[in-house]
Order: sequence, then structure tokens, then C-alpha cells
Amino acid sequence: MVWEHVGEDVVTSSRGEPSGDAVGDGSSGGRGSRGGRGGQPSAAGSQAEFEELVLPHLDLLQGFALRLTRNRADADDLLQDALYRAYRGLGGFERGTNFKAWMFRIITNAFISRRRSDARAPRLVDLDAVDPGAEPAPDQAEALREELVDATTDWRRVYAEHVDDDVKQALDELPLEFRLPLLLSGLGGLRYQEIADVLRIPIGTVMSRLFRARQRLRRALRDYALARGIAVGRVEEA
Amino acid sequence: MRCPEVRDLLHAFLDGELEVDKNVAMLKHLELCPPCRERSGCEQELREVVVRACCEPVAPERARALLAAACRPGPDALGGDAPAAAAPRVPSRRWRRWSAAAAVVALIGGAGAWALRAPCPGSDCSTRSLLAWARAQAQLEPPLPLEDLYERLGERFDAPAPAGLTLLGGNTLTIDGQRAPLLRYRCDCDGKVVVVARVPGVHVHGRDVRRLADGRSYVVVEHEGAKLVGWQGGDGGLWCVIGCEALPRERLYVLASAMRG
Repeated sequence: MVWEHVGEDVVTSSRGEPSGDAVGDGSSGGRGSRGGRGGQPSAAGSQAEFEELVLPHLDLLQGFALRLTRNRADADDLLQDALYRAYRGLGGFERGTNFKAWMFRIITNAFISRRRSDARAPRLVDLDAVDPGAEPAPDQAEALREELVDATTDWRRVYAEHVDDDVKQALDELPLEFRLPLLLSGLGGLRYQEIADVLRIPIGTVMSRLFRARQRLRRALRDYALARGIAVGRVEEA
Repeated sequence: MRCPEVRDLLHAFLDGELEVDKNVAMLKHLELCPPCRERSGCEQELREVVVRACCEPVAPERARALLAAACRPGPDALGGDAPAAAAPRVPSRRWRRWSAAAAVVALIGGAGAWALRAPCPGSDCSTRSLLAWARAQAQLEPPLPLEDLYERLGERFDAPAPAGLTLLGGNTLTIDGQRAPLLRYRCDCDGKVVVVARVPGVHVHGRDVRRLADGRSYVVVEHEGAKLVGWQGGDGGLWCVIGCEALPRERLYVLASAMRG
């Protein structure tokens, strides 16, 4: 009988016997980092599991922290804080669900609670109170002109010519109530309902903020391209 | 479905928020309507631009320091000597190895599109996996019948059997001494062949991870006409659908979604 370890699948013998239990520990050349899994949750085991869960997402988690705080030192603190919380809360993570989204929620909560607890910092945004409808409606002629410019923009060119720093700057300039849903959706992969839950805002608000965040972002990217002298379409003057 | 409705639903579609029937209707419309497809492509591109710009690579040394601090017992882990600030930034041997892996990947996936991490510290299996994988892609033998494949692998497994695809058989791929299946399917509608592979022990991580219409994340690689849509399987390996012929990208997305079940 030939056994071969293939991931953690239930491997069956050539006679077709199910043998899921037999394979787990008998794998030749087993992977060290999986050692603590499945058995009693020793500290080393859960640490290895935590690392395995976090590592694939660490670059994006750091990117998220940076775009939230907009400075390196605060981002480092926030990420460290969130990882600390996540490791201690690992028992609450439902295995098999989206770990990245779970981490994004933790970072968001850590970020919001930091802002709220820091009495010295002015409250730039109250996530519960901001009503996107309260923003003054743009002049109708201006809005029409914007739409016309949008329609005549070669967006492929805009995206092809952008540099990452443009995108970061455009994101950093978005008000937090737009930036946060955009990052949670775009980087964290959270569903609309999950974003609504973590930010405690209605799902309709999530959708409208996402829409407007993307609209602002793409217009900012176009403006940067134009500022660098790149022709990105026919811009008709009103 | 008509263009105005497609425009209204486009964001929800790209964000993976649509019901299955609406999703299918959208895909059908996009396949047939170039202006809507262009609009959808542009919207998708903006999403990808954001992800790429926000990916901030963490050097392995710093990653280790961050994780060690997070897992350190006691409440002082957040103290003033937080390793986030003190973490050494000198490139390590491991970093160079990962860079080498990334270089191999760049060969396949286009510059900077991917970075891969070995699942276990001290292993460079991702590099070898990819080399083997690239070789296998280039030199596919004729497919073996499934029974012969089982015999060669020394195991039986449940080959995905999505509707609209006929399993032709498969080959094996040897990675790190493990044989892995490389299955070949023919699309019933147009006879085109796709390959579905499982690369064990490869953890995918990178900039070209996209969330598709079904709301799940995939790695998408295109290089010199070859296209691949992959996802992290529950077994810690990479599953992927590889388009051997000129299949439209959208078709591969749909196939990957169907394979994933």
C-alpha cells in the first residue's frame, strides 16, 4: 500500500479505504509549522498557526495601517497593537473563514478606539455622525461638466500612467469616512454588510461612500496625470 | 439584462455582492457588450491600482520581530521597546531567497506581479515548485486516464466535476518529492482545453490577488498569452486553472469559480 502525503487532504489507499486519521502525523518530511495544529493548543502551536495565518497578508495589513494613519510611526504602532490583539483573540477566529477580513476588522477597531481614546487629538471624523448627505451639493453646472470630463477621459491611460505615490496621495487626501470603506472593501475584501457592521453605519451609506470614494480617487489620479503633462483625453472647457 | 441595468449593478458586481442569477446575467452581458466590458474593465483596474499601491512589503526580519512581539506573553508586549521601531532592516539570507523566488515568479507572471512565500521557514520549495510548474506547463504529456493517474499518484482523489466541462484525464507533477495531479478538462461549448493543477505547499501572497465576482480572492497571472487563475486551497496548496489556449480571462474566472465549488 502506498501512502503519500498530499497537503491535508483525506488520502485514500488504492483500495479506497478512507484513512483521514492515519495520515496526519505520519507524513514524511512533515511541515514544522503545522506541528501544533489539531492537538492541544500549546502556546507554540498557536503561535505557529498565527504566523502562518498572518504572513500571507502582512504586506497589505501594513499598507492598510499606513493609509489609515498616514504616517509610518503611527502605522507601526497600530499594526503592532492589532497583531497583539489578534493573537490574543485568535480563539474567536472561526477557522476556514476569511482571516484577512478578520484582521482588517481588528485593525479598524484598534484604529477607531485609538482615535477616540486620544483626548489630545482633535476628532477629525466622528464615524457615527458623518452624514454624507450633509456635504454641500455641487453646483449643477459644475457636476455636469465633471461628468462630461469623465466621459471624455481615457481612463486606461490614466491608470497606465499612474505611479503608486499618486494613488497613496489621492487616498490620503480622501476624508476618513470615504477612505475607510474604500480600504476595507478594496484591500480587506470585506462585504458591504461587514463594513457596515464594523463602522456602525447603514449598508446604503457604505455603498454611497464607496461610490463617491472611487469617483474622487479616479478624478484625483486624472488630475495628477494632467499635472504631469500627460494627455488623458479631450477635456472640453465649459 | 440591458446596459443601463448593467451600469447600475456594476459596482455591486465587481464587489462580489450580486446574487448568483444576476451575476450570471452580468457575465453574459459583458461577454457580448464591448462598451460595458470596457467600463467594467476600467472599474476593475482602479481597484487593482489601489491594491498594488497599498501593498507595503514587510522585510522578513521585521515580520519576525512583529510576530514575536505580538505573541510574547505578558502585557508588556506593547511597551516602549516595541520591535516595530527597533526591528533590524538588514536583508537576511531568507530575504534574498524570497527575492529569488519572486524573480522566478516575475518570469512567469510579469514583473512585480507576485511574491511567494515558502510555507515553512527554511524551505525554498516555492522556487522549485514554480520551476517544476513552469516546465510542466511547457511540456504537457498526453493525458492519462483517471485510473492510471490514481495509480501513478498512489491515491485516489475527487477530481472537480463542474458542469460544462469534461475531464479528459491528467498528468502528474513532481514537486518536492510529492506527486501532484494536473488535470485536463475540455469545455463542452467550444472544445477548448483547460488545465487544473494543484501545487502543494505553496502559499500565495502577492499584489495580483483579485476579488472576483463570486466575492472570493484569486491570484491572476497573465504572461505571454498564458493565463492562470489560482486560489489557496484548504489544504495549504495552490489550486489553479491554466488556460492553454486563448481563453478570455472572464471565462477562466468563471471556470475557477465553478472548480472551487
